[in-house]
Amino acid sequence: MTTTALTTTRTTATTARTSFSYCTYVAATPERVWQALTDPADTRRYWRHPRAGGKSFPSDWRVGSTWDLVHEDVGLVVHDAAQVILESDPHHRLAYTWHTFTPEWAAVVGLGAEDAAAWRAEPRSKVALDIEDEGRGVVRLSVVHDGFAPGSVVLPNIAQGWPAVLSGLKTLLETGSTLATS
Amino acid sequence: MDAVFRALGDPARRRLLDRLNEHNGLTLTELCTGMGMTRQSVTKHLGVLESAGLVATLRRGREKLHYLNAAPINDITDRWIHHYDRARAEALSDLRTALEDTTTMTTDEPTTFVYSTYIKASPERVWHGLTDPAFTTRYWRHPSAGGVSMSSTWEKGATYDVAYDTGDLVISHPDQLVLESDPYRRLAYTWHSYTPEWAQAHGVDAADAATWAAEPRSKVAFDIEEAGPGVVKLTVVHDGFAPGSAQLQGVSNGWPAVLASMKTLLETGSALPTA
Repeated sequence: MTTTALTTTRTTATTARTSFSYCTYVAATPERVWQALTDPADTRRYWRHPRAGGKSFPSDWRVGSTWDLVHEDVGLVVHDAAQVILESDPHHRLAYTWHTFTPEWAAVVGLGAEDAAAWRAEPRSKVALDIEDEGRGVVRLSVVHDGFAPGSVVLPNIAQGWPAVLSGLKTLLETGSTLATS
Repeated sequence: MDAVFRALGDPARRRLLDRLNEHNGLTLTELCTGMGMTRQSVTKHLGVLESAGLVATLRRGREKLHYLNAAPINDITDRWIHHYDRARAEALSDLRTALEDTTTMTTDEPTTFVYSTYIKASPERVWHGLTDPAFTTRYWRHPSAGGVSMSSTWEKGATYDVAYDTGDLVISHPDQLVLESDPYRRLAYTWHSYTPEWAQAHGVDAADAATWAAEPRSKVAFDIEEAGPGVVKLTVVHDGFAPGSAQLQGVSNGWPAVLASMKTLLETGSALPTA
């Protein structure tokens, strides 16, 4: 085995602990899944925080553009020039840097100031969403959220969040109704 | 990295890591057994290990399960051991593992698959979804082998058989056992055998099937928790794999599709279409 191959193998193994991967299958078209990930009319219905309510992400979704995190119910906008679209291939792949954990955001979601400072001190992570057409009207939607430092305290929270978010997306697209997770 | 060294610089904490290395997924009570210290001290030590990222926890009902996370130790290795030396160290470590013939975790490879999904259904329906052939044959399908049905009394200690609704393949083995059964809350069983007949029905190459069959028998646990009005969180922990397991790769690809289809069936009345 060459050193490169060895390093690659080890990197893959280590990645399991500094990143979060998840996938699900949705009975919908790739276009509809893309819309659900980007259109505020959809996101605010299934992408919800128990305290801060529905989220929307206004952006033109072009590479290099910024995106905002908006919680309309509580009037919170998280804007940061570092919240950037990294990759955008409509109906196929979307990648962006994660949002900033501002003190205002922490207050709204009920995260203590000290915890929020610890979250903020970690490197900014990034998320990539892949939409693959499986045929037969089914799409494989996968998320890889990475760029976390080893021992990250943000990662376990992200890992709790994505399954609920993507379960909600799937329910919305397949049944038209929301999933009331608390 | 300071936190990792601080955490490792205590013999009691190293013993806790040894315990998790021998048996991953222990509760606090289980970890306290034989430690010769108070529950409070063990809790404190676990807190240090957790904040150093060496131990990860997963909630199961009222219990908290503790898992060894070797990534921070791996990072230390990555920083100070040259690639070539590491190759040698790995080869030695592989050799030792092979000689000892244990299934102990090496420091860098995942041996567990964990997946959660949220389903708009009652805990009872999700339980039936996992155990009743009327459900499983509809959503748990293989393109060539057909729909899965498992027959068992689903009582602790009972065996179960796996059958498919196309053809006459049945997989039985005295080690296909129900390990835990708490209806509508938790179900755990050892995984089925990979017989040559199974491989043939699934279109799996005989050599690959032999590799799978030679691996230790894994086990899967399902936890069903209420997660909101009319919503259930279903968590699957499939573990007991050897490092580098080919089976683990297979089940990691399989579970998301199986569970996505089950969710669709329970919420809409029809499963996801299969190929």
